Amino acid sequence: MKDQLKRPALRAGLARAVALAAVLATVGLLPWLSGRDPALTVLRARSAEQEPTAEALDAIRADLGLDAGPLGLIGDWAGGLVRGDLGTSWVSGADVLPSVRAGLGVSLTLMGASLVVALLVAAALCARTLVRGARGTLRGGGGAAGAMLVAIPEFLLATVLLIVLGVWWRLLPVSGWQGPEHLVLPALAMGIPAGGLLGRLVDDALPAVFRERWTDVWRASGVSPARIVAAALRRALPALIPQLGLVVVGLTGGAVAVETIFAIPGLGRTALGAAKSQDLPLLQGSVLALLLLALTAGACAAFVRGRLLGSGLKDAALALPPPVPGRGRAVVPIGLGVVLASAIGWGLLKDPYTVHTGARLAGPSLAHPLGSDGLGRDVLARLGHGAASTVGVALAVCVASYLIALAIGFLPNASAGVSDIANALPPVVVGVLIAALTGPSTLGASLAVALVSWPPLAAHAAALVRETRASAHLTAQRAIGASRGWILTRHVLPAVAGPVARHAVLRLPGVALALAALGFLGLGAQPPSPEWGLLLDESRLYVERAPLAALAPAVALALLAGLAVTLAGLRQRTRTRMRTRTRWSRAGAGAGAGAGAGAGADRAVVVGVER
Amino acid sequence: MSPLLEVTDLVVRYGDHVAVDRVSFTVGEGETLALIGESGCGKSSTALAALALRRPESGSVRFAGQELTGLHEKLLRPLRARFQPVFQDPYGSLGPRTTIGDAIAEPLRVHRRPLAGRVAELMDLVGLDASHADRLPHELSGGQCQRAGIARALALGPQLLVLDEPVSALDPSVRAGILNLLTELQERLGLSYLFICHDMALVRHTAHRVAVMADGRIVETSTVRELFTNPQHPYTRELLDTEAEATP
Repeated sequence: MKDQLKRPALRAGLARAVALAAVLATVGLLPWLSGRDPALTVLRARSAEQEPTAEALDAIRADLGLDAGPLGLIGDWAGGLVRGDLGTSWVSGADVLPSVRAGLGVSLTLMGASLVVALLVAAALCARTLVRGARGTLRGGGGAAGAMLVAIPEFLLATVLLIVLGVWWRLLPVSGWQGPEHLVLPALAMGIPAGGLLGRLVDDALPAVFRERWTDVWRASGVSPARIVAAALRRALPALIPQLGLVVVGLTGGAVAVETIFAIPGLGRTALGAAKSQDLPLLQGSVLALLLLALTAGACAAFVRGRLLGSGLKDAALALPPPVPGRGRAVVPIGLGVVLASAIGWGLLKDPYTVHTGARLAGPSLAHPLGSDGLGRDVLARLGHGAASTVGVALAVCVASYLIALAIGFLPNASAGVSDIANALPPVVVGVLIAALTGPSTLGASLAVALVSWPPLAAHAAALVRETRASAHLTAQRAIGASRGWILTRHVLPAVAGPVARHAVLRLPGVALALAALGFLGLGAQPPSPEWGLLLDESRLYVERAPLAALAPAVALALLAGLAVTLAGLRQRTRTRMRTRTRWSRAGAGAGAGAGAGAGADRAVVVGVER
Repeated sequence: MSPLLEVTDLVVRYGDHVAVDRVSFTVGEGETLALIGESGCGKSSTALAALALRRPESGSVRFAGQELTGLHEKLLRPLRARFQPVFQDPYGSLGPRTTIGDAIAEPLRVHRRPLAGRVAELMDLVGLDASHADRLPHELSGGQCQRAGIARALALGPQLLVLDEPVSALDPSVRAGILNLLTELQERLGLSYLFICHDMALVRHTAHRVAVMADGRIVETSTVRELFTNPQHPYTRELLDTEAEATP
């Protein structure tokens, strides 16, 4: 049994090591992959006066070791790594290791504080479900509060907190890293959205647990609600622990924008700065630290999950929960959809590019229902045209991520390593890498987001695949002589596809936000394109004078989130195979009706059964 | 005549722990062999190995003269139609999202057998109302689910059923109904049963022969009458004593 345990762990470890090496090699090869010469950038960074002559550039190349070629450079770096030497920064000439270590310390502190905020928010969000579930009065599920929290972009929340608590009320410092009071605002900005996501996931998983029979038994035999709550959480958590690991890692990614806004010297900002100035050793060092952080979080999550599930996973003795009937009120998503679609449709009829210098920052009027922006452009028109690039691209990214996640989820060991790595790279850093390769563009930004948005879905799929594969009824499948393909397509896939699809829909606002964040940092769509992130960035400058221009894209993102969440909560189809069901129903009824009845008779029987 | 199922020197290990230690027994045609012992003694591991669902460390499992251990899964598949399991947990062994009718039809679909009328026939055979066909397992009672599990096991017309504690999860009033059904099916279809349980009281009326298992080994095999009148092994006597105390 020990061998059986060790082998997958070994394979997962190997996958992680290979992926780690591949990413680091990519970073090292960046100058050759992008076809741009870092010598010029470094020369500019070191001294503004020196002319970029051929001799000066050659001297810098020799100094950096670029003339040794890509393999020589990577070999040197790997050799140094073994000795604990990460090289020296090309720009500042300082040792990389101390700056990475300092950045890591700051990031860890910030992550810890954000995690505390996130857990508090998550606990507040699930409190209602937990209390009702333990009392046996649970009807329906959580509201849209969690979804709204998830939908608040970290960079927007950071800006609002900075303005309201820092500038207007002067309660807390707005930049720097000197004491604990500097921790509050960034931790809130990062922790609230993360807590919204966590709380939402737990709140989604709990109703199924409370529908399991043991909760009735416990309640009937007088077990205290607190103990039922503890047991229900313990039952729901194993499938969500990998998500917690990913949230922890994701916090470092979300930190880039927040660290930039609050001027905090963390790891994310170090990596971003290094990438922008093509400072390869510093970029390699900080990416390595980010990846190691992510791998540790992933390994911890896997360990805790293993301990929680215990031996049930190995012995194929888990009972699967019955499917949960959704809380199917189609009115809410239809209403949200209509509001969003009509706003976008109205905006599409208007021109987003015409500049009216006379009507700058105008309030709402009949001609400009949402007012105008700093150049006098119509906000509604920009919102409508921006929907195509933001929502459309986000939708495409989500579908692609879903398909990748399903494919990868069936190879849990491979996926653990690859997805840890992919998730360890915040979209912003991937966006920077891709922007360095192709230049900033919508395509580059969507590629960057797609590269990092499938891992949470794949982790969810892999967890479900493992749990389904370990269930007793799959042993029963093998006993009837069903082939692997049959079991996979008829039993494992249906159990996995639905929940992961709902998760993908839940992620849609997040993907739209990541795209918006890249636009916000100038790494995605370029002005004057009306992308929603760009709208937020532009309106941030005059948010006090024209709040509607900043509010409109934010509200649109929140509406999108509400739409996604209510859609995901709709009644799921519980009976998986409608078509084949009618076949034997007909045969059963055929005793009276005659088995060889025509198509009309078939229809009649189908109707009879469906009733 | 050779027995239908012949298990010889079966050893099943979980790491360092030997769950089944050189177990041998046979099940003849139309016969019920009860495998009895307390939980954790290796009964279920024996059942899984006898069903060729777990590869044993060593030993042989022969079904109708055909060796099953080491046989490739592809070659096993057609043979599986002839020996089918009924599991302890009636809910856990049916897929939570598959309707009862689909679950019963599934073995037929897997083996590409004709479906026409078969599901209704099987449901009738085990005493299930045809209207239950589009229910999901959690919408039925435990007894009804177990009947569905038996119908599913019978779908391919097997010769042997391996009943792994088929009534342990059910309450006593339902238990008798399922046991009567099993006895009736055996008479009607000429089935052989490997009946795994931990309750001596059940064995007395359902089994022909009994094998008593303790700590991974079979300590005694004899006919039911012999076992109850003249138990040989001290562990058997202990089992009988606890049963006598439980049923005054």
